[in-house]
Amino acid sequence: MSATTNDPTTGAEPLIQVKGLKKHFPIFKGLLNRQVGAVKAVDGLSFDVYPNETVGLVGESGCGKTTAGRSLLRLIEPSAGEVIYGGDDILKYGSEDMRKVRRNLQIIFQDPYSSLNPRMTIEGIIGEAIEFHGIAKGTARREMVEALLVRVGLQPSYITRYPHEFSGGQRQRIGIARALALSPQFIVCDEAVSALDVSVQAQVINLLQELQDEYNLSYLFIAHDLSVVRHIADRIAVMYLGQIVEMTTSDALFKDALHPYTQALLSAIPRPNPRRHAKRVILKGDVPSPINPPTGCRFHTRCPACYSPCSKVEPKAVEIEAGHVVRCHLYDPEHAPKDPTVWSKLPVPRDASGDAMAKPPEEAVAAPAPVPDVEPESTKSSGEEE
Amino acid sequence: MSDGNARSFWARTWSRLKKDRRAVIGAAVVGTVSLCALLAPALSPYSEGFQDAAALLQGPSWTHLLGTDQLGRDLLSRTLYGARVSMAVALVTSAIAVLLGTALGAFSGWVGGRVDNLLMRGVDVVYSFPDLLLIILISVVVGQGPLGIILSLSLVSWVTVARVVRGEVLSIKRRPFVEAARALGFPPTRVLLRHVLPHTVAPIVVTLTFRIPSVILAESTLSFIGLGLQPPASSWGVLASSGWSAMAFHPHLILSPAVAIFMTILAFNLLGDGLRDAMEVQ
Repeated sequence: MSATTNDPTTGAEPLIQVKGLKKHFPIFKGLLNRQVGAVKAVDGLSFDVYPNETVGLVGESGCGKTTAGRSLLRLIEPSAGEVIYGGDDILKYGSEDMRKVRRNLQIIFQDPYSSLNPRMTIEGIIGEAIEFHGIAKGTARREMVEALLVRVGLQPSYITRYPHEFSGGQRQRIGIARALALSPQFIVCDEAVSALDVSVQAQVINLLQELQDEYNLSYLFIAHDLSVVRHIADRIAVMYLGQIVEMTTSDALFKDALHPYTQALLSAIPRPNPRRHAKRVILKGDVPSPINPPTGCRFHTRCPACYSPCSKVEPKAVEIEAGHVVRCHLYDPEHAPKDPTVWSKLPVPRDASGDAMAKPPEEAVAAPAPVPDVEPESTKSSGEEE
Repeated sequence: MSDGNARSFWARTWSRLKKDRRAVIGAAVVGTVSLCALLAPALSPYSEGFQDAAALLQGPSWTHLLGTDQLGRDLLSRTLYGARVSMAVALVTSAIAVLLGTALGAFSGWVGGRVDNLLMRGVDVVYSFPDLLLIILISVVVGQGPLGIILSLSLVSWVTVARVVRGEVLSIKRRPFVEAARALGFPPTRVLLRHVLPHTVAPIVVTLTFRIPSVILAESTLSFIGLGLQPPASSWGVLASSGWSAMAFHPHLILSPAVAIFMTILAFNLLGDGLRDAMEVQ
């Protein structure tokens, strides 16, 4: 699918619109506790999530993915921006309105151990919100909790147990049941499968997909594992230092990533086929500090194709084709490079007009490989070899 | 409510505590001392102030099991009555300290930010103020006696509890299950009372069991140096104080209150250690 302003498959309005979301954590120092700076964890994030859609949010650790997920739910208060849901900016809501809207916006956490209250039974964990929001109580509530447990693949008899009696995968299912209890429309999955081992990961992802179809859910799927995101997400946003550097459909991103950072990131996915030439692009250096992000393009300090405007002018988000947004000067007609050799320095070189180079036949060979769908498209690279 | 009770937590604590021999001994001694204090009038062979003029400064004998003091008062009876005062002061003081400390510590840690900063600086002030000076000041205002002791010791004790509780609340409020509770739309007070505070119970109970012996010791010390209870009344500190002057010739006078203080404090510490281990959450 391609994403325009309206969802092309249904023509639907976006369920959630995030506009210029920022979260700056102030740094206080000294005897007088003066603010000496801020960690710009999320610095101007904009994206839409459509009904029944999964948007993947990927990036290195420390790039602000988790902060983004939490601040759009106001679990931490964002510094600026708008989150439009149901026609209103929920960031302007008072506590009473916010409480009501929370029923529709839920979250699943990364760590299945610390995300369940160890002193509560499963019935309490899942059912507390059902009772609090006046949906059901007593026997009716118990039946609802049991039904939810069955829906996420657990025994209804588990309701009297405590979290420590369950495995990581089971706990994550309980966390999912808790998020579903209020019949939300939108769920932030914050690294929801990262802490699980691979076989359990697959089960939980399948469960999330089934639930999405059944309850018409939208997900913001935050993860660092690209192959997982590729599997579940309709569209993917790539974050670097608090900003989205590229956003497009999952297929387009893996076929034709434009931003040098995305290209480098994709090249780091391990390949199951040892005979194929996997060329990895190793980025120089570390992620710069979000306290003092680089001027101009935030990626210019590590970009192999950096040229004149990159260190001075902050690139704007350019829509290359419908639904494919890139934040890179290379693709901005205003700053198009005069020296065509810049294109060849990209992790995935392109010709001077910015079009992808002719693809080698390798891709055709890759298709029938008996490897499951975790296999990414080849990212042919002539960058630095490992 | 039917949900989320701490039943399993207490059941687990109890079953672990039972297996800890030192904790069981501690609990048994604490229980015995508490019983003695409660039943002092029934257990004592003589009343608190009864003077046996025919038996001054006697060593242990069948009529006076622990001997008598300068005025012929039965030491066993005085020690039993002393337990009442010492234990009562310790329990009331600790209860006040825990209530006050938990309320302020939890509030401070939960609200955080500037309020927290301000409250904790206040705690620092109380903490750094010399205890003895504060106690003397209060005893001047309130007068000597159990009330003055309880008031002054509570005032210096609650800060420790407040710090412990605040620290716990600070760390617990960042755990994902607390975020989940907020995401489910529960108001802050409900999140604090139902999802945060239950997790501070273990450290509070442990602090309490270590607080009690130090209050017993503090009360004894105060009475010993003459700032606490005055001699006609009986407490372990008063007994030790009056036994002290004749220690060289009549060591039994100081022995019984000293052993009582020592055993009780040791027992509370053993129990506290056991509770800390037993309450550790997986």
